[in-house]
Amino acid sequence: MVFYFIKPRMIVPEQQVSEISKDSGYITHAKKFDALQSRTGTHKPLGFDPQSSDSMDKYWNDRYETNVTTVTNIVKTGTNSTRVQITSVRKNKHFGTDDWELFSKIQFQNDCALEPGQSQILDILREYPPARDSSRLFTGAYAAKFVLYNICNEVNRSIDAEIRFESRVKTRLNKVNDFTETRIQRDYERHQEQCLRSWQSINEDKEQYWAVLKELYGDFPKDLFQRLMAVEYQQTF
Amino acid sequence: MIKLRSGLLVLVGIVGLVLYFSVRGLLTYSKNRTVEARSPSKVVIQKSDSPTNGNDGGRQWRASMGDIAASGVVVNCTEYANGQLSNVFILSDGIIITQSIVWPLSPSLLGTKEYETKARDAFESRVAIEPALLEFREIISEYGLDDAESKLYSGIWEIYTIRAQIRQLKRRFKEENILSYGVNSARVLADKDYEFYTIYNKSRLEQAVYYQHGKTRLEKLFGRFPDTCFDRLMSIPVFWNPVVLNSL
Repeated sequence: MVFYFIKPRMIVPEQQVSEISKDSGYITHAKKFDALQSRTGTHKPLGFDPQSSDSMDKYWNDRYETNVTTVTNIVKTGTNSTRVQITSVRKNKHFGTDDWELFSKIQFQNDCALEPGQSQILDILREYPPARDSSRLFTGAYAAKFVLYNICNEVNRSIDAEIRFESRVKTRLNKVNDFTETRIQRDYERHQEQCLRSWQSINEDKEQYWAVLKELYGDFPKDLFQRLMAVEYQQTF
Repeated sequence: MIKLRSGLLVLVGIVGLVLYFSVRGLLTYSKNRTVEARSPSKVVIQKSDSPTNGNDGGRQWRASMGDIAASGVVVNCTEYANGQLSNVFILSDGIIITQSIVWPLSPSLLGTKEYETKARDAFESRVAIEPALLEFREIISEYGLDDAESKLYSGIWEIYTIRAQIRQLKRRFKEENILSYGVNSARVLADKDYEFYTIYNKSRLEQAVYYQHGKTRLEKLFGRFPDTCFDRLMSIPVFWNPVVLNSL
């Protein structure tokens, strides 16, 4: 009877976790992962040391390829206006590798420990069997965080624009003259254009991420994707 | 001697048992406390399936923040027949806020042909600047809801109203005008005087009120409204406020 009760006290992982976590948040979580142990076959060394936050930061900072792809978007808004947008795209060279999966897993689980609301992302991804069984589950989950963050930023920017627009209209109404109506109309049209641009930018982000999910898991249903895009937590509120 | 030994053994066993559970309990408690302090996240609706009738015939329900529900952060909402919502927020630090707001769409118009006609007209005049409306239509149409054809545009306008309410809430969050919204003694409650999590929790609970009230209206309109459909619709941002159809 005594041994039965003493036995659980011999299980150390929790104690180890709490001791190690004083040094680094990464180590705590790295201990929990079986991914390192399950890396069979190649024996290729990891691109980062999961027990060192410096090493993980370096891995993160080195993620971009040196080649820069230039993308030109021609956007037609309204009837008379055309906008040419030139952007540069640098790909993540780690993306799709085992190392990136492990990195994503560590980061995602660290973030979830701080804010469990993010685990909804994983719950939704797991509803799709190919994603659930994929060795790239966390790659997809970690990428979702960035898309949701970008969307939230875009929405916030549009709210700022709305506040500015209203304040401009208020100012114009305080100084009524012959041009007031025209100017307000112009402000309104400009704001309208800005809203459409925000909508377009959000949709582009979503499309890109959806393409990533399709690449990772073969396909990804639209209904699940839309539910994924509805996840909200503190950083994306 | 043997009896003494076995007695001692039992005694050690009991002490071990007590120590094990106390230490384990303390560890679990301290872990939970850390999570509570750091992680307000999911909003959980309670009692929404069995709403109770308030004193004035209002429908009552309660929502709490999932992970910190135990700390008592909660909103008690009463929905009145005239579309008025009375929310009592109980937040951390003993803050209690009673908020009174009116839902922008009238309950009496819901489900009528007049509403559908007005909603269709409003849809057509707005869709050029608010492409989200097209996505709402596409998603609702996918679900084959009862009377979906005759109530499609009413449903779209309901969704639009919920999304616009959420946008307004986010705007108030940016403008630090969360605590005072819908409160009579607004001057007493300035967001900047309170902790971030108090403001954030109140925002999420207020968001839950809009979701829940909006969903109740959709259920009245269509008879049922699947959660998955609702979740999908809530992923789509809007940029303008819907026309208030009652006053058209």
